[in-house]
Amino acid sequence: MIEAINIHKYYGNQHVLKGINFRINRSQFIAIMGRSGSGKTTLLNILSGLDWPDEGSIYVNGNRLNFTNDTKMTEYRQKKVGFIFQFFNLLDNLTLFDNVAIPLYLNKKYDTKKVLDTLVRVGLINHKDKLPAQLSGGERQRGAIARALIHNPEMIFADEPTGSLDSETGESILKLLKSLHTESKTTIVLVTHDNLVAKWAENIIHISDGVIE
Amino acid sequence: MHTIKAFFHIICSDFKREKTLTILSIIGVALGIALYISVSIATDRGIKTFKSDVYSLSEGYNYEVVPTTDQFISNNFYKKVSQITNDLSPVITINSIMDNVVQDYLKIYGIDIFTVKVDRFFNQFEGALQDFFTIPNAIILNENFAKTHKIKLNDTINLIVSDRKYTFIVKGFYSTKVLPENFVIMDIGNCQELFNIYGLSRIDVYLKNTKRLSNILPPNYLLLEKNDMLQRKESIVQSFTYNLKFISFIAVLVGFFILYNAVFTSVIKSRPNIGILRCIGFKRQHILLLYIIKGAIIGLTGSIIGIILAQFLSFFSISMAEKTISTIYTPISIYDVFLNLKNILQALTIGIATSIIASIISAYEASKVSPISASLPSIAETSFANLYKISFICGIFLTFSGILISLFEYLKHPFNQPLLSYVGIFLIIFGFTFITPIYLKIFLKIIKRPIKKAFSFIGNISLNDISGSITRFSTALVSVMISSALIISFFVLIHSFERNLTEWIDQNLKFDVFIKASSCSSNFCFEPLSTSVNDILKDFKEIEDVNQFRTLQGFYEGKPTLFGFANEYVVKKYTKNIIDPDIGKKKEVAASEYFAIKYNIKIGDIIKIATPEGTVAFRVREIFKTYSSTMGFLIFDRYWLEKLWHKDDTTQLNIYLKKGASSSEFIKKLESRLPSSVAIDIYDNNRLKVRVLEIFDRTFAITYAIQIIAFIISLIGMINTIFTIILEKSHNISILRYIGCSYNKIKSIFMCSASIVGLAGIFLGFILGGLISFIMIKIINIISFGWLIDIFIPYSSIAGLLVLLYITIIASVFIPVSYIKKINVKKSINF
Ligand SMILES: Nc1ncnc2c1ncn2[C@@H]1O[C@H](COP(=O)(O)OP(=O)(O)OP(=O)(O)O)[C@@H](O)[C@H]1O
Ligand SMILES: [Mg+2]
Repeated sequence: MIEAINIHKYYGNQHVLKGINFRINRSQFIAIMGRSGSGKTTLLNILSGLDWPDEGSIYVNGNRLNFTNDTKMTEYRQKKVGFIFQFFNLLDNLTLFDNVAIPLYLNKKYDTKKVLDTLVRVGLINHKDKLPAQLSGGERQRGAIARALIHNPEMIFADEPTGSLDSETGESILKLLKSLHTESKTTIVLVTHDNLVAKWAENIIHISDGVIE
Repeated sequence: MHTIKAFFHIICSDFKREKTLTILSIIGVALGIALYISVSIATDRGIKTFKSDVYSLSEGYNYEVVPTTDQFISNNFYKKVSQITNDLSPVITINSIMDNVVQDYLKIYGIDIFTVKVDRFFNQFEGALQDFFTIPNAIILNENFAKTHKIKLNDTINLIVSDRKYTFIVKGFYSTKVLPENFVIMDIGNCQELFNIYGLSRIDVYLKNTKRLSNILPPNYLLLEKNDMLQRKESIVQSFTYNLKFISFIAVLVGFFILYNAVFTSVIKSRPNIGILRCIGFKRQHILLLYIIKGAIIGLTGSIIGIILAQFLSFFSISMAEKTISTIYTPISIYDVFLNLKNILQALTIGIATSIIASIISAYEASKVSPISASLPSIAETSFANLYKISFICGIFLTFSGILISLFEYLKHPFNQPLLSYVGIFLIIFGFTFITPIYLKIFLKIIKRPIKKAFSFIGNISLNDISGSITRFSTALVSVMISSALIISFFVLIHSFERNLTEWIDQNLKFDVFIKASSCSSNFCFEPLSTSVNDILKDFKEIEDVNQFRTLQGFYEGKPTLFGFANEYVVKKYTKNIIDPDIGKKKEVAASEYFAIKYNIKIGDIIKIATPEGTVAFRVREIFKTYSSTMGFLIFDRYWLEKLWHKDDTTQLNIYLKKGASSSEFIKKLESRLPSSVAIDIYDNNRLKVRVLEIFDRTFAITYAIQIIAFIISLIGMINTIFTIILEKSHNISILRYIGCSYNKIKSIFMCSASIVGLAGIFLGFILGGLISFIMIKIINIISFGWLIDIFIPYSSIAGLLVLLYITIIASVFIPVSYIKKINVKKSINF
């Protein structure tokens, strides 16, 4: 369960988030929608602990996130969070296999079989030794999803995961997320400005002018 | 106009973004230039001062007559010359040392003031001119020298000549523009009288035609063109200066690498921008120009800072060059310690030229970016991958050519200076540099398993990082390689030298007490000790044997050669256990290794020596090692000194005491009996040995200093490259941060990469260093100094040194690695 209470964020004079309040229950699939520049990525960064609010707090399972403690925040991202970006962001020097294995290493739970299983699950087992540059956009995104889910995080944050893919490939990615949600009961927070994408979610939160509508 | 504005804007914003990198590159260039320029200044000023007695007083004269078998030219001959021409000037030169704390070396010149053609010489004369002739100890000093030592007109100063103190009265000053600061001018008549000299050190003469003078020239005098004499003088110290310039040039080279690295990084980082620039209509030439200008700005800034630094460094380097030249050749004091326009221009030229060359490579790469390929930085890496093989082949080729031409020089000695070997070493360094990418790849393959096992995740990521940016990490590797090679080669050189020297000391310095004149600060001096010293020694019963040593400046085949005269009987008795009372009377000579190499002489050969009694043939009895001179050195028995040179004086004394006699007591007793006018230095055996090693250290002082600076520059190179890598990797670092990798883990990844590259670099540097030290010891040293030394590799100390080096490298990586925290994670990621 994630709870945001009165989140404010400023960039200089620009007041980007103006008192955001919401609550996402465990195992929910939520879509956050809003116009470009409305603060979606900012909000997601705060939820995942990479950015911090200027005011307000985030509670995860009843515990307040302590944004000033870098070790705690790193641990939070490492254990509880999986992240999917619009532009995949795989490490370009590592093979797909190694990229997917990183979270296991970080959690000191390395297990070859688990990596292989996850790659099978996202349908990339035949590509495991390729470098990201040798994969298609959709394959990269599936790789990124594999990396996001391999350590069984409680929640996955996805920022426009289909934004740079064609609609068909996008749909297969969303199917994958959906199955993840139903099978592993992972909380999924997905940012998009595409109504068709948002339909996959159980609930939709709209942001406009820094507040939730 | 718009293009210029855009250029300016782009360059400024680039510098802002890469502040640390730019600053480090500037420091690298500045240090390299500062070192090279300060060494150049030190050696150039050293040579200039060393040569000053040839050109300073002899303006307007184109020839000089010098004695070859004796110290002086007879007054009679002077009279004969003056019958041929009256355009001539007699000169006496005497080395002296000022009786003060600093012990400035001063050269006393006895001259006929009316024949000196130096412009405005008299204008600067402040005293009463007739005093100069009538007062027997009147001298004229340099006005600057007088100012720094607070000497006024009519003051008296004490100078030590050989082992005697003399008091002089200052009767005038001359301007620094006219003569160097360490010149003391005396009337020649007074000079001859005061020092009991019945002759002249040289005759300066103006000749349109040398024929008439050549006809009356006795075989033991040499008529030399002034320019020729300058060259001969220069050639004596040339080895020394070449050596230093060579080493300091390596520092410039490392600076070059750093700069190259900086511009290259900037190109890689700006690839997307370059693509955009190309899209909006920038031509390829524009891009090329842009990066060349960038490099030139760094070079210019670096040079300017380098010039300022060079001025500071020069104070040290000059004093060290002064010490070295004074020890091995002749005492000099250098007063001209400020950079002149020529030095500044030289610094700017080197700085800007190297930076333009360094940036052209990267700029060319940048200009090839097509408008559409404005994407990932790793593309640059792959485009380089194809070059690795070619680079490897070039590297092997360069290395072998370097080895081959050095080998050729070793066998054939084609030049006076080891020029081929200098070039050879550079070729080898370049060769090794070109080999690095492939070498690094192979190295990674070998250590892959153990590293993965030992550092699982971290090791894996860092291994992949390295193999994904081979070019980049190769640059870091080159920095480490060069610094470790430099350290190893100098260490081996100095250690081998020290070992050989200690062995030499143990074999040769068998006497108990050593005596020399106080003013004699070089290894050899030509001014004899007073006879009173010898007389006093006669009263000492504890003396078993005395070796009275005499050095003369001689010539062999017209080239300056050191002549030594010893009691061979005594020497052989103590160093070789040979008792041969007749050894001295044989027409035999001992030749130094340098002499033997230079003139291709073997034991048993007959060599012809010019003596006051004409040319005499001597058989070469033995070839001996010496580390005290870099000239050819011949040692005769004193018997021949008397018989052929008609001299019976001494410049150094080696005293062997009877068994059981204490040298410290002997020295005490001797000192108490010496008259106060005698200024000699007395050493017991231990103190002498220490002194010899001290002199050795002094000779190497400047080398140590250069080495340290070169090392610092290489370290900066390493830091800079790691910085570059971190900047380049900021995207990957951010991703790792997103998925929950802690700062410390990311740091560990970079430390791991640095350790791998450091290890690879040190290993390659070890091989390179070995090669360089071999060439330095076995070729350069022999050709330059005639020092044959055996190589001693102190394995355990080198191992320790390498570990230390390794720690230093890893510690230095902490500086750029701590920058990881400053990376803006959100900005570096593609949302
Ligand atoms: N680091 C920053 N510094 C200053 N302003 C920022 C920064 N990051 C974001 N902003 C501003 O905050 C606002 C919200 O940005 P955010 O990236 O959250 O928008 P978004 O909703 O994700 O937009 P999009 O749909 O285009 O991705 C924008 O106006 C942006 O300019
Ligand atoms: Mg966004």
